Amino acid sequence: MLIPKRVKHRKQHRGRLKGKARRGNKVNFGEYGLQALEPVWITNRQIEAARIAITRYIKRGGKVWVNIFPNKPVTAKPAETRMGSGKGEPEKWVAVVKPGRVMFEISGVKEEVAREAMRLASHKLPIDTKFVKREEMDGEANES
Amino acid sequence: MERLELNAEVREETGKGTARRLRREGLIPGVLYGRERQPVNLKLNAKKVDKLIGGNVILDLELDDDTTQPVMVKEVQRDVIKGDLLHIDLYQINLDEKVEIEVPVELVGPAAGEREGGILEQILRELEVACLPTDIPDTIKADVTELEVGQSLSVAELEVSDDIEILTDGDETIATVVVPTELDLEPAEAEEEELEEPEVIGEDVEEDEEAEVEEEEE
Repeated sequence: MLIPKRVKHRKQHRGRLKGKARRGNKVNFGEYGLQALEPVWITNRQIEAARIAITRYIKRGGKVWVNIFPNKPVTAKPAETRMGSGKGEPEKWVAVVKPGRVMFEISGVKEEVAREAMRLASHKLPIDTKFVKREEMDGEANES
Repeated sequence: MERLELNAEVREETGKGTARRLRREGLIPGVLYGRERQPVNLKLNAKKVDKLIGGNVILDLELDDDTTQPVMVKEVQRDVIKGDLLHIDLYQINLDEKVEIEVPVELVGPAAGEREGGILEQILRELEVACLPTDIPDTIKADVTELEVGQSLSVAELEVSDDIEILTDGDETIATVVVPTELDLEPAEAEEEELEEPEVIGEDVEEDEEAEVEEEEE
């Protein structure tokens, strides 16, 4: 499971998820990508599940890029605990994803294969997504 | 090199309110600048612009004062989700002067290594070249048919016409044939341990310092 090797602080504030992705909003490495359409925290388990779904479908051949990394710790208090007594313990790691972010990329496979692999991956994620192609990102509007 | 015509009106008003109003009306804000002219703000028809741009095209820009000048698209801003045009930068060019521009690389294959199960990976997709605006090629073709698994093609190995000077570093790799990624279905670090915690930067140092202070106190 993806998790940072070293961190500066064990716990973080939650922060806000405003606006659209200003960076990482293009297909940069592969030919096809999976773009987020909603703001969300994606956990390392979801990233891993989506990655496995893609790899399993494209079998051998093709190359997969994961462009997001869960670098934010999320804490939680144990069940049945009274409020107070400080912040809970880190429970999971999430990637902060804003609308427009290209989360996964594929190359080396046909478009139909990439499309199906991304569809399977999108079912592992808690948001609406869109399949995007490299050439369309610079040219005409992307399809839905 | 294609020459296409584009009409634009000079725009006096500026700011995000104006820009949003223009976009609602099917127009987009733009700007025209160049080495030998003062910048001027424009408004253009979004649909027409969307049809014309793409690739390195020279546009004959006709302004509402009936002047026509050759321009190229310098930058395009789009909505990250919808892909709608938001703003365009046009650069006035001199047809007798060389321009520095990025030209897409087109791989001509299939590579020999692909038949053996390798995957052709394109690393560099655009080359920076200097040439006259009328000599700009649509694409630069890179022949990869002889690439075996593990081999790569560099910029220096490309053959281009004498009118075009490649500015990209010759050592840069354009394409390589790689071994496909192994089927990695196991979750990374499959051990079902309790959530291990990453090392906290500076924590050890603090502990050491505390220990030292305690020692001193004793």
